[in-house]
Amino acid sequence: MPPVEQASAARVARVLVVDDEASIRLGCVLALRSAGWRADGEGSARSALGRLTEGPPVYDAVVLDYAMPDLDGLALAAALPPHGRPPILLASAHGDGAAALAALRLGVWDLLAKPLVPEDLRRRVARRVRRGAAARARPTGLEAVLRQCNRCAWEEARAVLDATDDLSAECAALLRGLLYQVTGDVARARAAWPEARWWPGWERQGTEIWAELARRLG
Amino acid sequence: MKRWSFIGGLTVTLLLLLAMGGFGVIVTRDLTTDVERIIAGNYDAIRHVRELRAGLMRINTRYLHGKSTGQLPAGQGTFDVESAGIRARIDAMRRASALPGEVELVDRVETLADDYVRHYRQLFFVGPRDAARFTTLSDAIARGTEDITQLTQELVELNERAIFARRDAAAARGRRFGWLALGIAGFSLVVYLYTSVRLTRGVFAPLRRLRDSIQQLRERRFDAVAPVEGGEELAQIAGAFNRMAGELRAYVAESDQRATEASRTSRAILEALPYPVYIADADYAVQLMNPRAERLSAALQIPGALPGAVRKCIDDAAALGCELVGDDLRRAVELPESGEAGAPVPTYLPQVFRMAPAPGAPAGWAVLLVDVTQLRQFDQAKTKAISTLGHEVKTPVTSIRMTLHLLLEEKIGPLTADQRELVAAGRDDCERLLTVLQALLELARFESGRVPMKPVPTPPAELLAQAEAMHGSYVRGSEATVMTEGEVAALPPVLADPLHVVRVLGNFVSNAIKYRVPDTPVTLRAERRADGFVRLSVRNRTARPLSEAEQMKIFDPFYRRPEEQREGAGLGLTICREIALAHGGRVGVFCDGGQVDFYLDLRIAAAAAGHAAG
Repeated sequence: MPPVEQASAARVARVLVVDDEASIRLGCVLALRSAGWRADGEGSARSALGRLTEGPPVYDAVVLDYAMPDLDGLALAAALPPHGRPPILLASAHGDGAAALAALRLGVWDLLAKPLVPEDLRRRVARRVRRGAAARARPTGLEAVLRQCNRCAWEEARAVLDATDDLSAECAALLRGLLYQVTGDVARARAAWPEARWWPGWERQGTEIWAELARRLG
Repeated sequence: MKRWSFIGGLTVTLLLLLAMGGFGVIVTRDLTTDVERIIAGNYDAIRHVRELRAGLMRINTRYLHGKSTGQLPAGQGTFDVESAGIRARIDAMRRASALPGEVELVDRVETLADDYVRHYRQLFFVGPRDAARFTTLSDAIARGTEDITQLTQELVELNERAIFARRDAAAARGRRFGWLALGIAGFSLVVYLYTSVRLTRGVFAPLRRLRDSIQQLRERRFDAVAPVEGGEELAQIAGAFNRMAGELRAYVAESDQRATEASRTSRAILEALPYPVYIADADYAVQLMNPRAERLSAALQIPGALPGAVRKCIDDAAALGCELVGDDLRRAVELPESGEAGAPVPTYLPQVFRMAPAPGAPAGWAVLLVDVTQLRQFDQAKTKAISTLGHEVKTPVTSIRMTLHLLLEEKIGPLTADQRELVAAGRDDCERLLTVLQALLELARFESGRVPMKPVPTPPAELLAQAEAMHGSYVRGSEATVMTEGEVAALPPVLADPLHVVRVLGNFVSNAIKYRVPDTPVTLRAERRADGFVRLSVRNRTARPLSEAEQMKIFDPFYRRPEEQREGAGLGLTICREIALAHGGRVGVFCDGGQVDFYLDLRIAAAAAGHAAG
């Protein structure tokens, strides 16, 4: 999808890429810039925190690496209030079940599985920074639910999920299960997994749980 | 000889009792004869006398009643009858007379009786007319009556004396017989006592001593000897017993000797072993340990006892219901002896066997601790090297991949045809490198035991249902039919961490879909094995059957079949094997013509729990 055309009527969207690996950071920035967005790079979570909290909010999305030496991506996300922060896309190559669940609980439901390819990155960012006509258009069911989830508005997310009808049964079951899981209703969450065809082991599963969630929610 | 004295004693007693009985019979018969004689002779004589007297009395009463008045009853009928009776009695008395002087007495009674009868006849003739004659005759009759009474009294006394004499003789005889019977009884008692004492001494006492000897043998006191005594037969038994005891003694001594030698040999082997060996009973109490184990326990400050980590291994073996042997380094335990600082922590791989500490004792455990300190160091170094290298290489590879993808998009700038071809080849290599790196890192995580694995009792049907439900995510866009065959619901729960087991089954399913004959179904099956396992298998039809050599190697890292496309890292099945090992299970492949079965065997939860409880 060509986001540059959609965004041309409004201000060009601005994205912050936070990754301690310079080459990956540069790759992401170039991938986003080549799509017509303004992209900045930041090498550490602390400097990114400063940039995001000082001055008026200018970023439409943050692409955040999970594993960083000084402060990890989750800690940075936790330091930003869910209502005032820009949408966060959390990328990880090693995120396990516990990290994924912690991210979901913080309202970070845009999980990216590393290694990234430019096209995937652009598609996922575009979904969060649609503006103008695209933003006014009716969002898909998945987007509408995720929008509430990203605000940690669990009840509203559940209501939207119940109201929407353009989700597959498998996807709806997954979202319902995840909502139960983040709100601590483990028994109901467990009951939802067979329909979602997925049986997550949050404490025990390896990195594949992150990749699987990124794929299913992406 | 005992037998003869016993039989002799019994015979004498028996003969005496028979003699006594026979004599008793004779005496009784004699007495009966005497009584019969008394009754036949003496008593009949007395009875005749009594009847004679009664006859006289009846005559006198009738006819002498009116003597004083000088009257005589009319008629002599009574007299005639009674006098004939008197005559008959006297005849009978004569016939019954047997005693000396009795016949004379009877003759005299007869003479008197004749006079008596004659006087009565004269009296009847004279009648009361001649008073003087009547009185004289009456007086003569009275005198005659008196004389007859006197004489018959003598007769009675004579017979009574005879009866008394016979009675006294019988009594004396009875007394003699009583004494004789007493004597015979006393003699029999003496013979009985003598025989009993001989029997007790000669038979029962040796038998009791023989029984005591057998009891000693039963108590494994093989020096027991039965005294050779008693009769011939008993002595033979005692002799046979002593020979048997002797043979047994020799056998036991030989066995002891052999056992001692075997024990010495095994002790020598144990002592020569460079590894600690413990033999413990079911309560972990050490029954035997070699010097190396003694040193280890002493160094661990628990002299003579099993280290806690080793106990845990025994618990694991008991819980799994099998012996724990093999070279899986993840089972290794660290036992830090207080040694020099900086030295590697001694690490042992316990080999746990079932063994009874002593013959007949309940089964305990033997534990051999193989020193794998160095091996594990190497293994850890290898895993760490792979892990470090993998991570170090992976980050630049991912950024190179990103760069190559960006360049190929040509959004940053255009490429020439050659440049595009070069960059595309680089990108493909990058993709492959990343795949291999990720699989290697994962394998290293499994090998180092860093992947948490929590087997819980799970119904096999549930595992198959999950694998079947998820097959869409194994091979995206696959139109393959995946179905479960057979009655899997009735199978017992297995010990499984469902996440990992479903992944193994998923791997099998994706392989089956990839290599099946097009448009044939993939089937999931489960069956109970005889050895406490349930086999979960994935079956497909194939156009290229696996040879036996291929079946052996297919789970090895990086193994590829000849002419196979280079796709994936070649580590998927190796990781499956790691997961199976971590479950105490096994994986394998079975190829029969055009049909391939990949299987995963998992332990039945109930069997493992039951064994642990037992």
